[in-house]
Amino acid sequence: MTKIPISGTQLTIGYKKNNPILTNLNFELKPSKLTCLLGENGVGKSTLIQNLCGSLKPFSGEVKLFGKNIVNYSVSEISTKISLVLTDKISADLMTVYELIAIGRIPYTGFFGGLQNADRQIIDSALQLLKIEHLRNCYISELSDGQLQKALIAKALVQNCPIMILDEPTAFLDFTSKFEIMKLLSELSKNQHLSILVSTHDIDLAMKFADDIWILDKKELISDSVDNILKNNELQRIVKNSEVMDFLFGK
Amino acid sequence: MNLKFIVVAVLILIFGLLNIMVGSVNIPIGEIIDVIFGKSLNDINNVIILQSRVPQSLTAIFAGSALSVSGLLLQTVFRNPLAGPSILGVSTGASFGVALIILSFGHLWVNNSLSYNLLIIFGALFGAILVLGIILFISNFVKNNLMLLIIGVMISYISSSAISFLNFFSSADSVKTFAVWGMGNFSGVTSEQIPFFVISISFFLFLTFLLVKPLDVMLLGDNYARGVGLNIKLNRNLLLFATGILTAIVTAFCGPVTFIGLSVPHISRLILKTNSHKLLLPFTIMVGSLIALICNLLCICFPKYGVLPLNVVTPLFGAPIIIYIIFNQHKLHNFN
Repeated sequence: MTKIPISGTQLTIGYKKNNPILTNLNFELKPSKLTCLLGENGVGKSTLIQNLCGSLKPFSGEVKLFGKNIVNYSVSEISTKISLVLTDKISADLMTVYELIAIGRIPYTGFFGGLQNADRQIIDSALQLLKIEHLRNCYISELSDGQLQKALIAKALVQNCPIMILDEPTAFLDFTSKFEIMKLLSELSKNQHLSILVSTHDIDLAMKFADDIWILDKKELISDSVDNILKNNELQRIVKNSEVMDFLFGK
Repeated sequence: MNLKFIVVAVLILIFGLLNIMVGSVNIPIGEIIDVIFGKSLNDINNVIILQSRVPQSLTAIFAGSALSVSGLLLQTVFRNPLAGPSILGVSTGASFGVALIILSFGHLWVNNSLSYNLLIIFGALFGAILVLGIILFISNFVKNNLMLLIIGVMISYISSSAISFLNFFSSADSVKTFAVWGMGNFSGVTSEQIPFFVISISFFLFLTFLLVKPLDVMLLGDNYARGVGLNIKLNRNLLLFATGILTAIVTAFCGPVTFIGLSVPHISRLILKTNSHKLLLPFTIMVGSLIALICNLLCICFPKYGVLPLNVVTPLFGAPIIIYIIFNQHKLHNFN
């Protein structure tokens, strides 16, 4: 039986113990599926993601990574299970795309971080898979936002983890790039058997490409398939304006 | 790439020789070679070269490389292009530690004995680590890089005040020793002290090479670094300790030398056009040595008027670099 990649039970999270942001969350991330995490600004999506990758600890309840409480994993163990694409700014003007992607191999390289042939092959195939081979020697400061996201996804990909978590990878992108990124993630989940969790505000694209949807509001986290989410009108929790709803799904 | 390393190496050799040739007595290159190989019969030249000029050049080479590496590590760890040992107050912190030693115990010790030197280094290290600790602590709350720099500058002022305060209550002799030291120079390391200076700096430079793997990752920030399994706290503390000790050793012997630590990493990046520390670290060491040799040459090339203090020369090329970075807005923006 395949274990659930990530699950949460009775999770209470936040930054101050006496004032948690979210309480009593329960969820399971499905293996080899693309799951989109939707929620309004400030509801705690990034906080949840930080708890899922072990950089924040929940006040109560537990996050399980393949059935084992994540607090019992070391940082380096987690780095072989979960790869990340974050919104953090990168302060390395003069780093090339290849060097950026190579950082994804860090958990597997030796003391000085030198790349072996096997590492280089993995990086090359990631460049091919994301169709950014022509960018390999470009500085990351020269990339468009969409190209940078692809490079960051390639970096996450070469980390060879069964789980990939992305925090708003489509923010600030033009529509074509948003579409391409979401399509790419959907393909990766199927072809590379990755369990992918993406937080996003692009509800329309999430409905098109995701297998599962997590909807986070102040009270709870609803997780279900796209069809059920639509059938049960769960989107109302995060889209309160009926005009917006009509726009998204046509009257 | 290799060519750039070779060019800098040749320049180090040329400026190293010039540093030995130029001074109140100009010595031709043939004589220098004779002295180094023990063939010269001229006792005066022997003394000048072996007791004064070679130690001074070696001091410039190693002090320059140590300060430059400190600057590189600080810029990477704080992800801030304007970080450097003098700007963040690390040098002034070290000065404070030295002031504490010179001004309170200076009259009790025989100058230049090993125990006195070690005590001064200990004082410098104490001051440097103290300031780094404070900056690190504050950086947990102040995420904005410019604000953090301003806090560094303020800490610098506080240490300067504390130093003046100590001066005020000290004997005239101690104050003079301290004032001369404070202007910065590469001639303060005697031929007896030079082995200690060279070996200790080489040792800690070697240690920074062992930390080359985390350095590139740190440019991506804490979250990505943790994401690839890096122990952030441990690595950051090791790097800051290395920075502190390198700055402390140089400051103890040469005084608070400004701008070299800040500007050399930028010069290195501009020439190599890379962020990869595997290349940047050795290149920064070389460029740091070269720049320090050039600065020292400028200080000693007007022997009629004496020797210029080092800190008169270093801002001449250091300050324009800062202005360049500020003009080069997108670079600053990317660091924030």
